[in-house]
Amino acid sequence: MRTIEDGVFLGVDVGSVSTNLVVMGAEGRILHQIYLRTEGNPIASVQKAFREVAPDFDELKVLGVGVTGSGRQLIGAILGADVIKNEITAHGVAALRAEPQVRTVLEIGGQDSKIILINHGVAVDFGMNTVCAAGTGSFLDQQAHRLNLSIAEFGDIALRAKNPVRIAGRCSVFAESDMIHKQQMGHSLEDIVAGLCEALVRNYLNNVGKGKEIIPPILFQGGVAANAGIKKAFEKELGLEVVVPEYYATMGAWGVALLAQEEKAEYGNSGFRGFQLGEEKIGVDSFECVDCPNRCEVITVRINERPVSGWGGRCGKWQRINAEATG
Amino acid sequence: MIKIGIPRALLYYWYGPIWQVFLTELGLSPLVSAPTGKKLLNAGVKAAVDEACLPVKVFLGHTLALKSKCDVLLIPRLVSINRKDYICPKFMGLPEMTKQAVGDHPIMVWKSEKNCALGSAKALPEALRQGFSYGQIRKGLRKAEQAFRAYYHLLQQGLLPVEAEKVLLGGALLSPEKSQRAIGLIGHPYCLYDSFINLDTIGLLRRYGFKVLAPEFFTPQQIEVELGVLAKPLFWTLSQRIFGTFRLLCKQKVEGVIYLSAFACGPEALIGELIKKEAKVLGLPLLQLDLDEHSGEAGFVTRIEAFIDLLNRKRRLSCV
Repeated sequence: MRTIEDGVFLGVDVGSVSTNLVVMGAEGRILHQIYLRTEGNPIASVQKAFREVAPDFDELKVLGVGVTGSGRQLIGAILGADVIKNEITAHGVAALRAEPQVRTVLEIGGQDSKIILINHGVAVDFGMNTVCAAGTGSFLDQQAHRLNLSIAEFGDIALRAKNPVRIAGRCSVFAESDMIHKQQMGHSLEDIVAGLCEALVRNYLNNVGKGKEIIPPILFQGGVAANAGIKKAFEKELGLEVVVPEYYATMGAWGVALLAQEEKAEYGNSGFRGFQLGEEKIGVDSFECVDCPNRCEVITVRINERPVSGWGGRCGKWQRINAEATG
Repeated sequence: MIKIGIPRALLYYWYGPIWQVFLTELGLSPLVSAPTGKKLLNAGVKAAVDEACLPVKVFLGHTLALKSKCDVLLIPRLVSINRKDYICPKFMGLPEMTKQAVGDHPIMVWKSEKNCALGSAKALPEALRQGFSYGQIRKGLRKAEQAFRAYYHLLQQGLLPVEAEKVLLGGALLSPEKSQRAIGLIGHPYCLYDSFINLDTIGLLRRYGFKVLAPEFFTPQQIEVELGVLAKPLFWTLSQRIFGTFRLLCKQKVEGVIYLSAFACGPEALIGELIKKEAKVLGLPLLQLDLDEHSGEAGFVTRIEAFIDLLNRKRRLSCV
């Protein structure tokens, strides 16, 4: 039996709305999880997360670090990650660990939503929302704000509804005007909130889930899974039981920690820069490279004024910084 | 020497090298536009009508890029290259759309003819027919016909159009990829081979260690056979190629297929659904990606990465 003294794996999920970090034991169990709002600054939120875990864990050996989410490249470069994986794979891996029999994963995050279909323990198909964020957490955030509710109480209010109203969910702009109309008509707050949940679920199933066969067991994960109203709306629409796993909000981070473990079983030491990076001075420059007509948007990262990473160029010359920094 | 501008867009990837051979044979100087870039794309988007698809916008960008560098632009008017099926009507209107974009810059139009990949002397632009003797034209077309066969032979060996073009115009022959793992890539040639608008999908897949099989690797005869399963014939030539290729790829034992479609393409809205149904029946992993001018790199690469992971994990599981 392996113990915590053997070392830990770190998983970081840097999303558009939240930044999550999990500390995972060598046996795959979550020891600690942190869920923070990204607030438009992924570097600062990751540093904050590391400052929070450092007192409890900085004595332990870090065996591997994985990073996922839309900010994975930036944060992966800063942390010295061993694995940088897309969030679809990460969520799939975590879901399989939480429920080995799982067939369908519904995931709704802050700005994106996905569906993953699994068969015999391996993902066989997936879907992801396109540029529109109508069926996601940001949409709920906005509407909660308009109704003067905190997002935390949103779900419980929805559960009290007697007669959910029908709200157009195709587009968040339409949904908003439709919702205001329903308010003016005199519908109760509970019915409107529940109607919003159902609109979001319809939107999700018609866009992300279009043409996908949804088979139980179904896991519902991502930040929005905290909302009991959405879970109920899914169950009503699908006519099937929907399970919210224990670590629903940090499944991406857990999944990528598991992927780091998978990777590290074969390779050597972790490239992790250490817990002190929560205190370091980290800067980013971005510019449009004018050396050719591609006009790439290039990013370079500095830690304590030393360039450590660069990317964004199609020709590869800005990626050279990476090689120089590690080599 | 008279410089003739050829836009590197749309069916350039099928016919471009052959046009070059023909023009060179006549003693003219063909000038192909540089590969698509951000500036060119922006110019094309600005010049196009709203309802034009992304590839047409790219085409107009290329005409604008060539405008100041050539004496006359060569614009194809492709209506139908096979009996009873057609090229999209937007290709029919290319000369008119180009005139709107480039103003009074001279253009000459190359018309397609039925049942003929290159066209006969009749299909040639008026200016060429009048400027050269019948004998010169005949000789040029014969050369072009030979080049056409050589070009397609190279494509069917697994070379990309850009690689095959180099060989055709005198470069050294590259050995085709030898990777064990194969992935299918379907879509219109101008979506697959313009590495700017598809963020170099082929390069990315090759870096992952895949041999990439595309519609141009199959002969029209092979494609024709596969169309037999359809209840009624498909109207569009390019849709036929996509559908036929998809079925051929299944037989070639590719691990999965990626379908690159162009945003706002009418025919693809239909063929896309047909392919999805076929994928379900055949049980082949399929990823459909829409290309648009907003080049959202993050979402695009994320989907490809996730798809490759899916194939890798599936493979590993089947090995155990």
